[in-house]
Amino acid sequence: MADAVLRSLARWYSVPLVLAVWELLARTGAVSRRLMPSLVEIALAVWDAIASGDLLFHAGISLGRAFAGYALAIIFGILLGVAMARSRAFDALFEPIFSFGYPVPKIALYPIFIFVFGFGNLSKVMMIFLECLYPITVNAFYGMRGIDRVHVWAAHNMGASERQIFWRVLLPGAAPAIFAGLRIALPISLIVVIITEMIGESRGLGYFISYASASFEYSTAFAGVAAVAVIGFTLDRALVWLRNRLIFWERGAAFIGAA
Amino acid sequence: MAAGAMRESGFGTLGGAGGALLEVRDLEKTFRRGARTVQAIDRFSLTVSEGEFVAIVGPSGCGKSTFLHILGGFEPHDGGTMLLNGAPVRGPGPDRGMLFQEFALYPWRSVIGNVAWALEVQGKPKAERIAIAERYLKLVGLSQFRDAYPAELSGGMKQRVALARVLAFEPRILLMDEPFGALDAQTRELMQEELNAIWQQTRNTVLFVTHDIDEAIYLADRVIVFTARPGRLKDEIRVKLERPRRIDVKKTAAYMGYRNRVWDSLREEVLKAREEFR
Ligand SMILES: Nc1ncnc2c1ncn2[C@@H]1O[C@H](COP(=O)(O)OP(=O)(O)OP(=O)(O)O)[C@@H](O)[C@H]1O
Ligand SMILES: [Mg+2]
Repeated sequence: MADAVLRSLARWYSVPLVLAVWELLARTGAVSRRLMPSLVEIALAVWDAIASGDLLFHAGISLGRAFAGYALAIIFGILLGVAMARSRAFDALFEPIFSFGYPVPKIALYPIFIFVFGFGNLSKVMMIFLECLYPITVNAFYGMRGIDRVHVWAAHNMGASERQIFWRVLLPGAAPAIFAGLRIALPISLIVVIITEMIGESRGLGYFISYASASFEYSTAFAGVAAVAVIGFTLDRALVWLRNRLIFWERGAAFIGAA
Repeated sequence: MAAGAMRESGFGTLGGAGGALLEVRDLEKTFRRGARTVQAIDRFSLTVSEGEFVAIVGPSGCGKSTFLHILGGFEPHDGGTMLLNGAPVRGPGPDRGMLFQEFALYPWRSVIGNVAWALEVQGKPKAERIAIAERYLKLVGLSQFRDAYPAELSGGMKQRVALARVLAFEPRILLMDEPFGALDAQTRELMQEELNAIWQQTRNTVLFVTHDIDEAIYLADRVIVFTARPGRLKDEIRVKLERPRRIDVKKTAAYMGYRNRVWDSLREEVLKAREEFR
């Protein structure tokens, strides 16, 4: 029991440490109180924003957009990655696009997206989709390509059909890499939704944060940031949980936070 | 013979000539990658009779694995013929059971799941495939581990599961590529004894590639020596040690005689293979 407490203390001590440093900087006035409100002020701002319903309203809007873009990226990313790994024609068609496009911040295209898709939900969802598509596709591709040839040969040896091999050998074999892509893309979806909402929008956490900052209500802005952090952390945990249930045969190693 | 031939689908019922189950004639294989070519096998011929245990030894890189991969139907070849039970070998199929050095178990399947899947793809009903899988797990002594996952097993246990998996779909011939190569010396010796005991019961036809001369002589009826690359038939030694063999047969004078014969034949080729790397 005491052991378990000690162990979780050793694992999580950096969190209270960061908070303590924050509080120290805020209280001593080392950084202006207005730019860096104390934790108590932020907590009060969070409370106010929840009580007024604002925070949940804007969080719901942002989450909806992020999920829509992320879900589209999962569907098309996995399909595309698998198709590229399986077919020469697909590979030749998309490989250059993905190689050149991967290191480019796609967010730079946002003004064009606004022009094409308008200021509403669609331009944001498409932006999130595009940014998330890359890591998901690339990871699915390498997951499918990285499968041990003896796993496929053994299946051929038993007389398995191509279809059986795809569903029962290739897909489970690529699953760890596919999940790695999903985990990379998850925070990207949140980052992109917040950034796009900061530009010409009247709803969503990005708007909430930028509006509060512009009104010099920094504790409210930080309340928004805290909400994003909590959402991001929770979703990542949920994804890790799901991953460890589905890919039970491969624990921990390549996936931080298995415990 | 005829009854045996009917056991497998997809192949004719022509009996092999004079008890020959496998006939390989003038097999050729060259790997090409761009302008670079590597001739792996050069006009290799071999006949294996029903129920025979044939071991293949040869210097590293001489084409032993390639030979098994071609026989298994995983790799194409450039020339020559391969007849299994009188019918040409085309593509992979369950009439040849391949045991890989890397075990090739599916980590997401339990021990019993790995063995039973081979039967599932062949359309056997569930109750039947579980029963067959359990029977073969018992044969390799892993009944208690039926629900374990490969990651929880030692190397020797993994190879036993892989063995149960190929035995379960009852291939006409077993192709084993250094199945014990990844194991430590003690486990390896235990596995040899175990395979010997299993073979004594099942009397499978086996083609067994190994680097270990002792293993080859202890297990096999005949030892084939490959030349340095490109692999050709160098020598063929019939091992007439009495069966069933116990592990202490390795201490007998007859055994030592065979060992020296194989070793002399092999050493020349190993030296030649080493020359090439200079
Ligand atoms: N896919 C491939 N492409 C090109 N060359 C290959 C390929 N596979 C094998 N070779 C070459 O063919 C030759 C025979 O290889 P093989 O794996 O059959 O040797 P081996 O006798 O099994 O060796 P070892 O005892 O070390 O396992 C080697 O020179 C190897 O480099
Ligand atoms: Mg080899």
